[in-house]
Amino acid sequence: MNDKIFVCRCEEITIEELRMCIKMGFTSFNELRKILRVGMGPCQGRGCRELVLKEISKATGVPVHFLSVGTFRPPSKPISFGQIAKMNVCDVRIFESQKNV
Amino acid sequence: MHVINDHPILKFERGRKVQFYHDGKLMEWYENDPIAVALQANGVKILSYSKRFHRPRGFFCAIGKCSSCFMRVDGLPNVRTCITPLREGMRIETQHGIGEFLEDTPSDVIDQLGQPLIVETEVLVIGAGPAGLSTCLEAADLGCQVTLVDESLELGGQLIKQTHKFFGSSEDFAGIRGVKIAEILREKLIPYTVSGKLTIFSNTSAIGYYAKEDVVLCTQGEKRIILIKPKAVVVSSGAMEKLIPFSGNDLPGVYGAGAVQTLMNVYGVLPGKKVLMVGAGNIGLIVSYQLLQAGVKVAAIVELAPRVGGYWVHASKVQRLGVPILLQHTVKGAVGEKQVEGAWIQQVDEEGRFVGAEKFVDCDTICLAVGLTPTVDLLWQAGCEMVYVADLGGYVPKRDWTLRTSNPKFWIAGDASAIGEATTAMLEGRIAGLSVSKALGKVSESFFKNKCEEYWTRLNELRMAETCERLRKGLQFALSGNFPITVQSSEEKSQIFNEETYADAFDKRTVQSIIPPMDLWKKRKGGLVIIECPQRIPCDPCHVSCPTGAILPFQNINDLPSVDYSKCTGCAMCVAACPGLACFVADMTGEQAILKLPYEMSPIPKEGNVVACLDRSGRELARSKVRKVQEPRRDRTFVVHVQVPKELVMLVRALKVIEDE
Repeated sequence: MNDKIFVCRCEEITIEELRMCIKMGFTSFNELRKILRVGMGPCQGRGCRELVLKEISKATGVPVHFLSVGTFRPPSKPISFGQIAKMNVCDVRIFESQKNV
Repeated sequence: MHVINDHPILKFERGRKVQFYHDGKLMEWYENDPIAVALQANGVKILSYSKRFHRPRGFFCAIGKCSSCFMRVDGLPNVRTCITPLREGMRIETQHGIGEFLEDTPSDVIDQLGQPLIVETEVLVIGAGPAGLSTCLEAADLGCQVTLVDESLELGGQLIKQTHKFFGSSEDFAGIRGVKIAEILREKLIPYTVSGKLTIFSNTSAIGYYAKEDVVLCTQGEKRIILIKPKAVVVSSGAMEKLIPFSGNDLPGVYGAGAVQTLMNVYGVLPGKKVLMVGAGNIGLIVSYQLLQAGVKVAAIVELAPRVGGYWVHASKVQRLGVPILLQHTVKGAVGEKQVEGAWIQQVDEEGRFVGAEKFVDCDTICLAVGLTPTVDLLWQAGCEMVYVADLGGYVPKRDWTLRTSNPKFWIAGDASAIGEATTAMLEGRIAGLSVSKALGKVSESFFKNKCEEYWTRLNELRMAETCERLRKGLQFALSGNFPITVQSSEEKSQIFNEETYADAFDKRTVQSIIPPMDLWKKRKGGLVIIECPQRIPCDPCHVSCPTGAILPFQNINDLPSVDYSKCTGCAMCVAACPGLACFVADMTGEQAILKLPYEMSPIPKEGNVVACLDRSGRELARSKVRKVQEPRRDRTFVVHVQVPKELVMLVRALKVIEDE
C-alpha cells in the first residue's frame, strides 16, 4: 500500500498524477488546482504549494520565482458555517459604515 | 509506554486527569492537553482516514497548520485535535473522509458556538512566538494598544519546546534554555495585560484579511468568530514544516520535527521508540538530541546535502552519543500498513540521483526536519508584494528596513519573514514593534532612528555567523528601499574549521590546535580547559561565565574563543555554561587524568556509578567510576568528573551511565 508518494496530503494528489498533468500542459498552479484540487484542501496549499511549483519548474525549466503561485483567498483555514451563521450582518456593516465616514 | 516520567531537564506539570471516549473506548489523560496528544499517550496514532484512498492519517505539524488531525469531537466534525484541549467526558471519534455530522448530532453543538466578538485595536500581532511576544513588549512599552492572537494553547511559539540553551549574546538570552526564555517573556507581558495595554486571545487563529472591510477574521477554538479591526498588523505567524516526497509520506508516524518537540517537550509524550531523523540542519540536530534526552533511540540522521547544515557543536553533541549522521543520504520510503514500521534510505550523488543499494532502517517514527516554509497566507491576502527566495524558506514578503511590507498596514517579523532562529526573531520583533509605534505616532523620529539602528547592529552581528550565509544572501532579495545599515557579510572563515571534520569528529591538526600548553597542563591542579568550538557562530557564554577571565573577551561575537591558560583554574563554569556543550576540563596532575564533562541526559549519575566513556563518535573507550557530580549553575547541566587514562584525555568526550551494574 505504500507505493504512493504524495505532494498534497489533504487532497491526496500523488507525484505521478501531478507530473502527468504537467506533461499534459497544465503548467500553472491555478490550472493544476482546477484539475487536481491541489491546494484546495483544508491546509489551503501551505504544505504542497512549493512542492508543486518545484515540479513545474523542473518540467518547464522556468525558475520558481517566475511562476504564478495562484490565488489566495480568505479564509485560509476551515471555519464552520455555524460560526459564520452566528455573525450578525450588522456586525459587518459597522465596519463598512465606519469606512465610509 | 508512551509517557515520559523522568526527564533530565523538564518537569511536566500535568493538570487534572479526566476520562474521555475514543470511538467508544474509555481512556484517561490530563485535562487541557490537546486531544491528539491524549490519544498518542494512549497509543492511538490513527486519527482519521483520508477521503480519497481511505488511508490512515495521524497528525503532522501539531501546531494547527496542516489540518491532518481532523476528528469528530462531541459530534462536531473537522476539529483540529492538535490544538483543541481535552475536556472531561469528550467523545472523540475517528473521522472517515470528509467530516460529517451524525444524524443524531444534538442541536446544542451549534448552540455551544459563541457569539462573535468585534475588537478594535491599534496593533494586531499574529503569533506569540519569540518574534510576536517581543513585538508586543516593544509596542506596548511604547504606548500602543496591542491585541495578540495565537493559535496554540500556550504562548511562546516554538520556544516552549526548546530544552537546549540558546546561543547569541549573554546580554540577551544566551546560555538560557528556550523553555525558560518563553517563561521570561510571558512574565514580562503581565504588567501590560494587567494595565489593559495588551489583550491576548490564545487558541485563536487569524485566518483571513478582508481588504474591503479592512478586518482580520479570527476563529477562537473553532467555537466563535473574532473580527479584529486594527490600525496596524504585525504578522509573526512563524513557519510550517516542509514535506518531502517519498513513498508513504502520509503514514501516521511521519511527523514534522516541531510536532515531535511539542509532543515530548511540552506534553511529555513520546512520538515512538526509535526515530529516523531526516535533515541535519539545526532543527534536525537539536531534535535528535532532545529525543535522546527523552529516552528515545535515534537510529540515524540522514542529510541530502554533502555537509551538515546546523552548528558543528550541535552535530557533535549527537554524534558523541552514538547517533550516525549519514550525509548525502535521504529517505526513500516509509514501511508499514497502518503506521511507520521502518524506512528505506538511500545514498544520493552530487546531482541528487539515487546511487548504491537501499538500506533498511528499523524505526517507528520518521521525523522530518527538512526545512520550514514561512506562513504568509495573510500577507498574500493583503496583497503584499511577495518574492520567492529559496534561501529564506520560500515565498516571503518584500520589506523595508523597518520590516514594513508593501502594504503599509502590514509588518513582519520572525520566521514568517525568513527562516532564522529565535534570537534574531526576538530582535526582529523589537524592530517591528518599534516601527509600528513610529507609524502610529507614538515615538519621535530621532528616538526611532537611534533605537532601530541599535537593533539592526545587534541583528547584523548575530547574522555574521558562518551558518547564516544563505540567510544573508537571501535577505538581499527581500529587503528593499534605502537601507541605512548594510547587512554585513563576513567572508572570514574559521582557520581550523574543516567541513570534513563532520565525517568523524576531529582530524589531528584540529586536535593539536586545541590542546592546552603541555608544561602548564602537567602541573595545574584542577586542570585546564579544552574548547572544541571550531566554527564561527554568535555565542559568548563561555567568556561571560568565566570567573577568572581566562576565556578572553570577544571582539566580534562570532569569534572563536581564545584562552589565556595561565588564568584557567579548571573550575568548569564554562563546561556548565556552554550552550554547545563544547567546553571540557582535564586535570593531568594525578596518576590518571580527571575529565570534567558536561552532561544533560537521564539518569543523572551519582558518585561511584560505573559509566562508559565515549569518544566523539560514541564508541566506548573505557569504563570508569564517577568521582564527583556538580550542577554549577543549578540549571540541569551537570559537570561529571571521571577518571580516565591520560592517553584518552583528547578522545573521551561523553559518558553513558551503565544502568545494570
